[in-house]
Amino acid sequence: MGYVRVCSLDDVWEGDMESFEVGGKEVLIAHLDGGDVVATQAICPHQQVELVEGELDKKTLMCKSHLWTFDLTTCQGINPGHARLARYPVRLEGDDVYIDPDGDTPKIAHS
Amino acid sequence: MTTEHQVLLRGTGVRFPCAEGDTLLRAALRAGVGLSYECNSGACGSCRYELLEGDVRTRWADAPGLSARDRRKGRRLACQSEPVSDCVVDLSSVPEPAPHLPIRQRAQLRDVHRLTHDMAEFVFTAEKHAAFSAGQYAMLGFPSGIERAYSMSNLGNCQREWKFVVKRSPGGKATSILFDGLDLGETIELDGPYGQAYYRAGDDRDIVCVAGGSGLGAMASVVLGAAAQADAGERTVHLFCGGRAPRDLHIPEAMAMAQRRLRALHVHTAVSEPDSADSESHQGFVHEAVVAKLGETLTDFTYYAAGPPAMTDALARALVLDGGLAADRLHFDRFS
Repeated sequence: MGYVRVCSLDDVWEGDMESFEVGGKEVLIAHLDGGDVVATQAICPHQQVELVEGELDKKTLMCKSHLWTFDLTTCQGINPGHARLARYPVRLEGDDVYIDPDGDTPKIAHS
Repeated sequence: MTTEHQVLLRGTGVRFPCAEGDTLLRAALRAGVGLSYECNSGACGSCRYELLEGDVRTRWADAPGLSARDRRKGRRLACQSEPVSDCVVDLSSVPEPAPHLPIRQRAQLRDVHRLTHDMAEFVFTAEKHAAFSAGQYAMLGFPSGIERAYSMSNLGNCQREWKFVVKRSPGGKATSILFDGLDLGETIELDGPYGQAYYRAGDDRDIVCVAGGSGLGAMASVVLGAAAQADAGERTVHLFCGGRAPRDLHIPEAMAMAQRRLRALHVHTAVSEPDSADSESHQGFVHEAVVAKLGETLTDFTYYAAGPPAMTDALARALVLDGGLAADRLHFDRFS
């Protein structure tokens, strides 16, 4: 599918996040403090819970349900450490955010 | 002959029958398909799904388990959906085999033991079996059509015996039936077992059980589960019980038996009402008592918890966020 425009940086301000549907996948766009833009899966790998309803604190994303936390700079779990999030390639053109939804697949954890 | 509808989980090839009037979640579990869920009551939101084809009747349209965003995106709760035709649904995950298969059966009230001023243990004999794991719950259905989830306080057994510790809730319809409207010998409908916060015997760590209110029943069951293991003499258990004042607290008699089998059973109590603590109880909330008692050793244990949502939420934050406990070493079913 290649890169697809998802939104503008005006839609997701620094320190904020929003979920979108891109190429049949639910994608979370997080605009981290400092300006990095990360595209990851919108649903927690643990259960069917929207990560956008959790809390974003600098580079750490916490799911509201069971307090799972993730480092969005790497998309690896902080707690539990075995958890992982998908990481979709991101390209910025001016204020436009493009991602490649085929660049990864949503992860599922069991515990 | 009841009507059945076929449910297909898209992208998995998994298919199961759902009897007319049964919910998507319960029908899946009865067939051994392990959908994710916790409360089976519309509150936790763990059983969200999308309906792709077919029709369902929604039991509780305003169930708090769905956020405004979920509703906007057309998501539904499997625990509140009754298929009325064949359906195709999307779970966006592949279900694992369900470890417990709930069934519906009649159950007769055999005995009632008063435990505190507002808690009692109700003993039922079911018509088919009492197969469940320590820490699970069942849905009790009363003649008026009211249904509530209550945790078992005993262990699965061959006597078909199901025990429940229930706390009378002021103005609560279901608990007023149990406490005031049900005579010994009367029958109700029992559907279970349900719940994911059951005792994991394969986990070798020592355990901590934290109970608030009628969560005492589920935690007593988990303590008994640990004490029933062949290597119970190698296992240490901490049981924390919280209430507002000393009159809310009760330590079940069966704990004495568990204490003899385990290497050690440490019972701790906490009371939250200011200046209400007696010499034995921690003054404060039960999650504070856990942190104060276990201190540096907090991360050495696996935790089980049951009680009011405010208690389990505060405990989860204290253990996982502040205490650094691995998030998957705390087992409780969210009812909020």
